[in-house]
Amino acid sequence: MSNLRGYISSRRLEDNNIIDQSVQNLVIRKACDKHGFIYMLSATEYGMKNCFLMLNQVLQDAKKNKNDGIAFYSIEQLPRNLKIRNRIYKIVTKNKKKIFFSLEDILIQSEKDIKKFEDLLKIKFLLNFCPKKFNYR
Amino acid sequence: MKNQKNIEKRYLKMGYIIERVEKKIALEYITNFLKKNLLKILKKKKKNINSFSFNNLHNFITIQDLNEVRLTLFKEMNSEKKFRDNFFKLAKNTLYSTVGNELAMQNNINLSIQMPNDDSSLLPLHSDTWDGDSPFETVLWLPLVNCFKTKSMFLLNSNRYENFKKIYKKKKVKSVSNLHNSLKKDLNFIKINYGNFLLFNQNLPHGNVVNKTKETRISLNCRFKGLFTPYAQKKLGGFFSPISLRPASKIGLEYKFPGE
Repeated sequence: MSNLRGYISSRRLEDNNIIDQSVQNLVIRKACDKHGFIYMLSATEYGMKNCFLMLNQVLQDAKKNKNDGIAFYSIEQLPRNLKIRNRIYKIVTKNKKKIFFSLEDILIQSEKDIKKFEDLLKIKFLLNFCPKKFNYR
Repeated sequence: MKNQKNIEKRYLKMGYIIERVEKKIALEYITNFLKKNLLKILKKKKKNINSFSFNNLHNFITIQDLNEVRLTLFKEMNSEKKFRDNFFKLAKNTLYSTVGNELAMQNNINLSIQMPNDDSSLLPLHSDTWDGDSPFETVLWLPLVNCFKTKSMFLLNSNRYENFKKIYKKKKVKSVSNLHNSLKKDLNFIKINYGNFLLFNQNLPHGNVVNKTKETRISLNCRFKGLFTPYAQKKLGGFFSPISLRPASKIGLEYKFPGE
């Protein structure tokens, strides 16, 4: 059984939503249960804009084998900056850890998963620049 | 009045105050409540209550069992209304002076148990406002044992807050432990004895480290804020409840224009 450290946010997510921390924890707990992961009490990212001090701490702990990976609440917590995302992916490729996105039920544990996931993210980012409404005429 | 001014001054300057509890009987109730329930969990006889010391708790339970003990105690104390009332009475006048006389109190009082060398119960350096609390909140922290050095909590010296902001702004700090190391010399372990309470500004970075003393720390903490001050993610209802409301506000809340 894998021990996954929960990771929740205390600021707006990338989609501009604010989700109550207790709800984020519930979603992670339920998703971990479903997959048979042991949920370790969540680390809460600080509220300051573009701050990833807590995420970096959790990544450091993963490298030191204090957990088997990270259970995010959602992919909307991920930074737009690819450099930071690559630091997250590194613990999958180098340290053989798991990255799990609870709300979307997406598990990343291989390079193939990362590639597929990055495609999904890029499409999501691009959708922000697409028309939001159809003109049926 | 003089004492009130003195408290305000110290709170603003230092970021915290330490005072004797205002109602000794309330402290005795809290201490006995926790001792009784701990003895029940440990399956020990009630007559041992006077000889049982929280300092020695690590001799009776293992770190593996600690979380279950903590959760049981947490549920017991928070289901008892009297416990909450007594907790408020410990520092009621000081809270009125520093926060306001119309107050919201956190719905659940938190319980910390830090056994020697336990690295599973740590709260790394943080400010509550970074985690979604309102900057208008203050924390009432009650030790049930004498606290010193690593057995206690640490708080950033308030006169070093500007320095902290500079360090943070430089963006060289990469993780929480990294930030902790950069601030280490400015962090102050609070020395406080049983019978006193600590009221501190939770906007100042604080936390704890592994307890390297030979004694267990048990402490309680709870947030208070002005009832009508802005709330952040910890809302009125789900996280806070009104604890004191003045007559003029009660009248105002009920008021309707004639004919409405």
